[in-house]
Amino acid sequence: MSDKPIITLSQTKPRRIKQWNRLYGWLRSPVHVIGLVGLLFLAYTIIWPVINILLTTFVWKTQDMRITAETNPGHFTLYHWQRVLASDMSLSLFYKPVLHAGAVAFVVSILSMLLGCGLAWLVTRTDLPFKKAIAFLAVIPYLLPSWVIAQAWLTFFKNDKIGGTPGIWQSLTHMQTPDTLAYGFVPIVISLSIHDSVYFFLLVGAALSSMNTQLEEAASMNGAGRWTIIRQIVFPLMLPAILSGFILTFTRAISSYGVPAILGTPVDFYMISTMLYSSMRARLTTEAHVLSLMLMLISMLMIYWNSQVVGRQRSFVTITGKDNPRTLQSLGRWRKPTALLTIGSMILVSVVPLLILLVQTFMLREGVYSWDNLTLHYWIGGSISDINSGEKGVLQNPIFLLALRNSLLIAAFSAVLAALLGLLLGYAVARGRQTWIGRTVDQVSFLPYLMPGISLSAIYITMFARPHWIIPALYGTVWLIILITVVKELPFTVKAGGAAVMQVGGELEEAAQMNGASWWTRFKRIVLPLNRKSLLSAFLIVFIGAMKETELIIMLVTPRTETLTTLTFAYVEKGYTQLTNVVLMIMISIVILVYALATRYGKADLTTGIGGQ
Amino acid sequence: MSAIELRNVTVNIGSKQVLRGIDLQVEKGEFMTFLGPSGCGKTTLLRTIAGLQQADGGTIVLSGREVANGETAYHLDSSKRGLNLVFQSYALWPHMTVFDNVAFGLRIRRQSKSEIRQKVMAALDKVRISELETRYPGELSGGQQQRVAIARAIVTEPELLLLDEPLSNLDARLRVEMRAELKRLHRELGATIIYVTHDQQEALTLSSRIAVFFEGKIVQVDRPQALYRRPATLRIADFFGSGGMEMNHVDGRILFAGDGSLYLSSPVCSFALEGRLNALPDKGMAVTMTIKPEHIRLQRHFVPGAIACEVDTVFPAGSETTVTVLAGGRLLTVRLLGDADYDRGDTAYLLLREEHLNLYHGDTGELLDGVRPASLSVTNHASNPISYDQNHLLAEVPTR
Repeated sequence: MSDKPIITLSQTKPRRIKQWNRLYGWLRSPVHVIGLVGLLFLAYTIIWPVINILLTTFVWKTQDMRITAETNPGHFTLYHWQRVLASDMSLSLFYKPVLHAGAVAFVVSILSMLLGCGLAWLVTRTDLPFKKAIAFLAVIPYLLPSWVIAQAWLTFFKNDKIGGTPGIWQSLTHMQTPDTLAYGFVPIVISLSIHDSVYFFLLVGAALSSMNTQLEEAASMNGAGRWTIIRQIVFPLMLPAILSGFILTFTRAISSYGVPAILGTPVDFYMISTMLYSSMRARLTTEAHVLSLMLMLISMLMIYWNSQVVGRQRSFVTITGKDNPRTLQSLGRWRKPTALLTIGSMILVSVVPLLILLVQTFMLREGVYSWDNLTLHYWIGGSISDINSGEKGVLQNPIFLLALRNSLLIAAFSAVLAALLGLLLGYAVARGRQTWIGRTVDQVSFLPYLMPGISLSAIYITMFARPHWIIPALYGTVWLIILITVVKELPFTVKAGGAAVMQVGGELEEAAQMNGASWWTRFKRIVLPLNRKSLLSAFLIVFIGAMKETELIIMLVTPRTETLTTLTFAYVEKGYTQLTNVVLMIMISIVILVYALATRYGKADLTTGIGGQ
Repeated sequence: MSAIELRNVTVNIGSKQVLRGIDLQVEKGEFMTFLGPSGCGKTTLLRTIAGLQQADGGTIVLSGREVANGETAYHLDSSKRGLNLVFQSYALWPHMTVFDNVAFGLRIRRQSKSEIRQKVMAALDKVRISELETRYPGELSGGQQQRVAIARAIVTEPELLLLDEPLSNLDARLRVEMRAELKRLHRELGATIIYVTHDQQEALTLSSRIAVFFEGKIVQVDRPQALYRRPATLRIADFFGSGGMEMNHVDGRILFAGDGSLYLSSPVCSFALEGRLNALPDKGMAVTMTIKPEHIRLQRHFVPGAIACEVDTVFPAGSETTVTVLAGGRLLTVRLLGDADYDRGDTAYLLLREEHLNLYHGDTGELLDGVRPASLSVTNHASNPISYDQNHLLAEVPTR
């Protein structure tokens, strides 16, 4: 019997007690609290900005007075949409860039798919020699900003007609490279494909290596030929991985900024992102926002299409937990040629560009290939007014030191915050699968994926330019860059965190709960230590992402928050090729060093970070 | 004061009502088993008692203290309920040693180092694995992991110990060994134990009482012997009859003899009834007779009262032999001790141990309590005084 009955008096009181107990009980569940706080954060950093921007595109602004007399500040108008979508400047402002971006993204996705899947198959399923070396080489492009390859391309292929100075090719052969090879669609597609095929390689590679070979053997027992097996067994099972790779590549490529800025802008080949950037620069803020929204819309349509195709297939279980010996496909007499060809082309795309850029840093005058042209000036030299308008050698330059400090600060903070936030929200998603709050967190945290980095930053500039509510004006501080990096990486970190928490069975935590452990103790002593590896992987992926990030922050930086990437980009725009490359070299060394340390000592794994199993 | 008192406990998971009004009282020091097929709600009830699941209705009182009340949505944290739980998967923390696993709860309670050491070693001693303290769970066998999980649950000296199918992940030999261990632990600890299982033999071996669950309700609570002898419904009888303990069913009919006495008539045998006969309806009714294989004797030679049959299949299993026989067109299973020398097609004779014969209502499946065969009246159908028309029976008794 109960000693002290809780219900005593009238009818209304127990009801109130019940409601109170309900609320108290609901709030005591860590999943609910984390989910609620997480949702507030997501609403503020993702949903609200988008709605806000959408609304501003329908309102006249004071600055519009410069353009038209109709302006009626603060009132509703369709003017901006009409200007972007249906006016005499729409063709150059919207339709051409969209067409360019769409074509580039599509071709890049197809090329990356062929390259990445082929490579993944070779590495996981055949008896190809030197697999470890190949896998390492394949990841290198991922460790570099996507436009490094573009920069290397330009160094090699540019012509003196548009580039000012001749590239290596022209210097050696004295033949002017055609514009279409040096600039525009072709080099953009090639640079992006080389970089983005890594996504396919990692995703499809992970799926292939976790697929039970017995599935193939069973088909073979049933009389299926090699080609039938690939078509009817392997391909359908790989489809989810291939499609997520496709989406990832497409959305990244369509919103990429660095590569088209370097290779497209000199020949007026604009993509949405570069057009967005120049609109922003030209103070056509509202038009830029319309472009952002259109870019988002295109990405969303792609994802929707993906979910339609992949839909139910996600439930495929390809992991059986049984680690059976793999039967490798023998390449026969093609084994050596394939290995040579693979390694050769990998070196060509991963190592050669870096070497080209490295050699460049020691050349006093660009395009002059002789021994007396070698110098360390761009590394350690002082200010000489004839060279680069007196810009000092990188290691002497206080701006470089500031940028280095900022980059490290941003990358380290974002990585720690994003990994922790990912694990926490992932916890709410994994443990709250049955509740609306868990599902909502899952879906909302995916939204930044739909938002091209350049659109997100266009929105954040407006949102954080002034202090509002309790948030100070973050624009001009590194905190805004950290915030946007964390938000942009959420889809990956939350997915990775959720998957990791899912692997730690709920009973492990309940056992601690039975022994009286509070949620914080449980998290600290059980969840965190058991998820160390995935936490480190998330850290790594965000760190590398932040170190090489261009699209996301190019519009947000101010002289005080200059980072290595934006500094290099500023040098690119001024044509300080050698300085650009020096900074790039330093940046790349940092990334590769961190990658090597994390994978070697922390057993971090890149694939978990980008959505592999 | 009972250790546990459940009053009309209901639990919904999603839109499904998993527990539909559970009433149960468990006394201090009892070994109570929740038994039922998977999905019957027994684990949910255990988790509700543990506080890992909220009750949507009803009250739970542990040792006189209300810990959950569905009407006021009151819910006491599981750590404050004075109980501990052994999980089906053991839920050992893989990144902690055996010692750290067991010491976890004591450290949460901020006990002194020497006290923790002494208590942990005592608990490990109780489950006889004190030599494994520095190992990690991954290095232990299933049985050893099970012992660690139990040590972790008893180290905080809970008044109530909950065990969720603890033996289901062990192989057959270890399972038998751990049964003995659990029995010994119950004796030594003196704690109240709630034990969840779907294994009838485990339940019969271990428990002081068993609660049988079907579809979110308790359908019978009784001592193991009583459950074994007189299952309250045909469904419970069948549930106990599964898993290597097949139950023989024979459909029959209660008939009135001219002298006013009642008889059971079936294709296999017929006999007079005695006991609480006035509870039966006036007219003849369909009944199902059950008898366990171990309660049938099989012999080669006829004795009075024996039923002639033909051997169908013999399943020797060493210590015992299961024989299926055809009697009156029905297939019956008989269990014999040791090996038996029968061949297919042999003629043999059955003797039913009538004290183990149960009659169930043909429609409701409920036990006809107190109705039993008049002693020594079981007879072969051939010598049955009442003529038996099989076609007539098939026409009227609904087939099950």
